[in-house]
Amino acid sequence: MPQIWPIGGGKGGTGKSFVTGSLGILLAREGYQTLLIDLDLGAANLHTTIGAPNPEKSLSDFVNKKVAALDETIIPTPTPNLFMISGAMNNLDIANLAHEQKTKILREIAKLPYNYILLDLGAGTSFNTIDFFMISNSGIFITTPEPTATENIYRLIRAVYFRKIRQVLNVYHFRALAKEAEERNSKATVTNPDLLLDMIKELDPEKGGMLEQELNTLEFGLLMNQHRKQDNPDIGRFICQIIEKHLALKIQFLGNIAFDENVHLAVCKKRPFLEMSPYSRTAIDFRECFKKLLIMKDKSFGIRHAVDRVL
Amino acid sequence: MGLMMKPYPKQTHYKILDIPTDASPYEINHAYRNAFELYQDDSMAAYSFFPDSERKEILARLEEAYLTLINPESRSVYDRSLMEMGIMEEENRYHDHSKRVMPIYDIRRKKTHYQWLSKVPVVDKSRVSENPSIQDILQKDRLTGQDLKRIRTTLGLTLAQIFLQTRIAIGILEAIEDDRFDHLPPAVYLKSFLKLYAQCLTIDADTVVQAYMKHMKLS
Repeated sequence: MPQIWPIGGGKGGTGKSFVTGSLGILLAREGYQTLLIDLDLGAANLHTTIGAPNPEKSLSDFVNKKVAALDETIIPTPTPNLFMISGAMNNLDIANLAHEQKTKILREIAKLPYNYILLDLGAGTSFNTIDFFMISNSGIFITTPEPTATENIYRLIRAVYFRKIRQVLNVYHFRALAKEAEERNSKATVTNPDLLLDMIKELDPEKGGMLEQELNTLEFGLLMNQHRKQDNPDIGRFICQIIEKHLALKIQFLGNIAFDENVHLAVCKKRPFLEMSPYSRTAIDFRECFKKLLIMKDKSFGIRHAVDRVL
Repeated sequence: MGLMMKPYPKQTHYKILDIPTDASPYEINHAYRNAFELYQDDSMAAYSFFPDSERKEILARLEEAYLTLINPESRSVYDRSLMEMGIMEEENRYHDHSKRVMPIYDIRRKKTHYQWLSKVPVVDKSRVSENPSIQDILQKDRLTGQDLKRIRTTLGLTLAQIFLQTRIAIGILEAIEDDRFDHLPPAVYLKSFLKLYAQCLTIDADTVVQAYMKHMKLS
C-alpha cells in the first residue's frame, strides 16, 4: 500500500509543482519507488520541474479509455526511481471530471505498487482538487508569506473540513442537521465549519462524536514557500496555530523554503532545481523540510497501520 | 487525541491564553505576547480567517484574560470563581515560590538592638568625692593602671561603656589598665586619651595624666 501525499495550496503560483517535483526527487534519491501524478488538470506542467521531456502519455489516455489500466500511462523521468503520470493536456473536458471518473482514478491510484505517490493538485477549491486532496488523511499545503496565499489556504482548508463533514454524515442527515444548526445559531454556516460542528455535536451527540473522530484522523503539513529574508519566519507557525486552535485540526508546520531567483532559471532551463544548485539555501531548506516530513508521515503512517490491523 | 475545543467565547481565561492554570506571571506574559502577535491588526496569519469584528473580539478577550491573570488579586478572585464552578482544582492553583530579594544590610534598621550599649550611665560626681577608697587612690603620687581600673570598677563602668563615650579603642584602654607600656601610643596621644578616660570617671584629668605619666617614667 503506497503512502499518498496530496500537495495543494489554494493559490496559483505558490510553487506546488516545484515542491512536488523537488520532494519527489528527494524521495527517489533515498531509494524509494516514487510516483508523481499531475492532477492539476487543464494546467499540467509538473514534468518541466523535474526535467522530464514532454510526455507522450497522460492521464487523459486513461480517462478516455485509450489505455485499459492507469499504470500504462506511467512514464520514467531522468531521475532513477522517480516516475510520473502527466496531467491531461489535449482534452478540454478533462478539467471537469465526472464523479465516477474521479473515483475510478482514485481507486486505481491506491493500487499502484509504489512506496510514495505524490499528487500535484491544481489551484483553487474546485471539487476536483478537494476530492483528490481527501484521498489521504495527510495532505501538504503550500503557501507563501503573502495575504493572498494565506487567504486561499484558509479557504482550501475550510473546504476540506466541510467536505469531511459531508462525507461522514450522509447527505440527508447533513442537510437536516445543518439547517437546524443554522436556525439555532445564525453564524453556524458553511463559512464557520467549527461552529457548525459544535452545533451538530449538541443536536446529535452520536453523529457529532463520529465526526470528531474522523476529523481527528486528519493530519496536515504546511510548507511556507518563497520565503524572503525580510519576511517574518513565524508566519507559517502562526497559521498552524490558528488552524489548530479554531478548527481543531492537526497541522504541522514543516518549515520555510527560501526564495531563490535561480528557481526561475531552473524552470526556464527545464532542469530540476535541486540538481542545478544543490547547495543553495533553498535546497538546504528543502532537505530540512523533507526530513521533518518523513518523521511526521512515518508516525501517522504507523498509527494507520496499527488501526488497520485492529480492524 | 485531544478533545475538540469549545467555541472561543465559552473558554476560560487560561484556555484563551493557552496556558495551564498554575502558569507563572512570566508564562502569562509570554503567552499574551504570542497571542497578540497572532491576532493583531496586521497579522498575516489571521488575515481573512476571521471577520474583522470577530478578530477584534478575540483581541479584547485576550486582553481581558491577560489583565485579569497578571494581577495577583484579580487572579485569585477569578480562580476562586472557577473553583466554585468546579472547573479548577485547588491544587492546580499558582503558588508563588519565587525567592524574594533580601537586604544584606538594612539602612532603616532601628537602633534598639544596641540600646544596652549606648546607654552610658551618667556618673554622679559626689560618688567619687564621697568614696574613701577612690579618694585614697587619688591621693597617691603615682597612679598605676591597676588603680585606674579599681576606680572604674568601683563606679560600676565597663570598658565597652568607656569606649562608647570616649571612642578610645578597647585594646588601648586595656593596655593602659594592664600597664603594658609597649602597647601604648606615643605620649602626646596617650595624654589626651588619659584625659578623656579621667573625664569619663569624673576625676580630675590633670592629676591623672601627671600621676600616670610619672608612674610610666619610673617603671
